[in-house]
Parts: sequence; C-alpha cells; structure tokens
Amino acid sequence: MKGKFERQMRKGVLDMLVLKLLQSETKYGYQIIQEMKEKSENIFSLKDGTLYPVLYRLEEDGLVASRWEEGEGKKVPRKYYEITDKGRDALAEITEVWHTISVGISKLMED
Amino acid sequence: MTKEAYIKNILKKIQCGRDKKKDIQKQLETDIHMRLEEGEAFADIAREMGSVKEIADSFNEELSEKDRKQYRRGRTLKIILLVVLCLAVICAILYWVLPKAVPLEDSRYFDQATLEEAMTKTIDLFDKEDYDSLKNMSTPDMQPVLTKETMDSAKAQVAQNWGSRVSMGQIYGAELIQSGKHFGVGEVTVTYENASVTFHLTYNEDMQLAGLYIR
Repeated sequence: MKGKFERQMRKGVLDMLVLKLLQSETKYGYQIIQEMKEKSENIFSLKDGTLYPVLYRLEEDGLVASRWEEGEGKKVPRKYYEITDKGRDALAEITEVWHTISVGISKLMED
Repeated sequence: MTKEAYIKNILKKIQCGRDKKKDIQKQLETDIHMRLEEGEAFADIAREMGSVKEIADSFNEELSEKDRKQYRRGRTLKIILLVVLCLAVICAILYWVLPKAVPLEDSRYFDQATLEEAMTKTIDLFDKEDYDSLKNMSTPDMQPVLTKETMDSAKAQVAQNWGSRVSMGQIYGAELIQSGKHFGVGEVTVTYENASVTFHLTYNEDMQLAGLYIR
C-alpha cells in the first residue's frame, strides 16, 4: 500500500521537479536523473523508464523542447532538454499549487 | 539479456509510432552507453533502469492519444500488408499451378510440325492397338494405363465398334505451362466408319505421351 501511495505522489510532483531542474539550464536525461537523486538526497532516485515517458509527455505538451547534440570525439550523441516559456509559466503555476497544497496538508496533519 | 535484446524488447512493447520508437531507442542506447562508459556492468544498468515491462508500461501510461492512433494505424497497416502479401503469394501459387496456354508460334519448346508428327504416330499406334509401342513413347505415369483392356473400355465409352479410320481432321495445338512444366497439347477429330472421335493428346518437353483423352 505504501508503495502505491509513494508512486502516485511521486508521479504527481515529477512534472514540477523536472521543470524545476531544467529552469536554470538545459540538461540531458541521465543528468536529470543524477541531479534529482543528489538534490533530493536519494528520495527521488528515478529509473530511466520513469523519467523518459515524463519528458516525452512534457515535450508533447510544449513545456520542454529537446534537441540531439553530437558528442565530441567518441562521445555518443545526447538529447538535451530545455524548458520553454510555456514550461516556465506552468512551473510557476504548479509551484503555487504545490505551496498551497503543502500548507494545507501541513495544517491538516498537525491536528 | 544483451543490451540490444533489452532495448528491442522494450520497443516491442511500447505502443507508439515508428519515429517516436526510433527516438526512444536512441535515448535508451545513449543512456546505457554513458553508464557503460562509467564502468557499470550492463546487468546493473538494466536493474537501475527498470525491467522491460516497467519501462514499457511507464511509456505506455504517458503516451498521448496521437501516439496511440499512430500505433494503431501502423498495426492496421502491418495487418493489411500481411494480408496483401498472403494474397500475392496465393495468387503467385495459383498462377504457377493453373495451366496457361501459349500459342505454338510463341513456344520455345514445341512446334506445330513436331506435334502433328507425334499425334499422327500416337493415333496410328492407337488404331493398330500397338500399346507396347505406345508405352515406349509415353511417360512412366501413362504406361500402366496403356493396356488393351483399359483402352478397349475407353473406346467402348465413346462408341461400340468404331470401324476403320476414314479421315483425320486438322490438328490444333498449343503449349500448356503448369507448375513450371511445359506440355505440348493437341486436339484432332478423327472420323471412323462408325464414329467421330476427338483425341486430346498431351506431350512433355521430351515429346513423351503424357495424356490421352478421347470423346
């Protein structure tokens, strides 16, 4: 049961976290996975199979854009993701909603 | 499981169009490559990335209606192509099996003179009831039926006591191609004292008698 709730809650905040990580600079998928793991202190240890579908959906919704870049030398090409203006607006909205919800939840859980 | 099989199995389960699958494939290959470069073993990488089912399910959950439509269209197209291919194969087999007639003028295997000569000889031997000679110029399949008993029975079905031959009509010939084999076929009406009999004779490429039909 815990696993199910955890999955659902993670899924709900994943869009916000991905957009947040892309807010400052463009990143490739594996980099997003690693940064999310480090910055969340292993709480959001994402599998590629979880991140990429989210990235594809965000791209389809126009919140992120992607481009393949050839690697230097023998390095493999990487797909870089960047947040779009629509994505920044969405991030601001989601963040606001998140704060409202988290404040409400905190108050409720304190009782 | 190898890296290639792992990616292939994931792609097989994802229900989206070909272009998106190609992009996903490139993405997965890049990630695995980067991890391999960092010294990770593939088994560990696959465990970290998720099982084939987990990854495919995650993608399928997030797919848009457009992706699903493309996948369904692709699948329908594949089925249609498969059906068309099957029909083409069936048509090709039927074309190969069903006899096709070629005029003797266009035949590379038979000519009118040779066919007429063979037919005249066959009918002469038939009239003389020289079935041993007929057998000698027939295919192995024909030989067992070329007996006096069988021929008398066949003759009786056309008419009792044909009498002597009076005349032979014009011989009409053609080449028949069936199952990749070439046959020279000819038809001629022979008038006897008491009956008019049409012979339909077939020869193989070596001009051996391969079929004899009378009516």
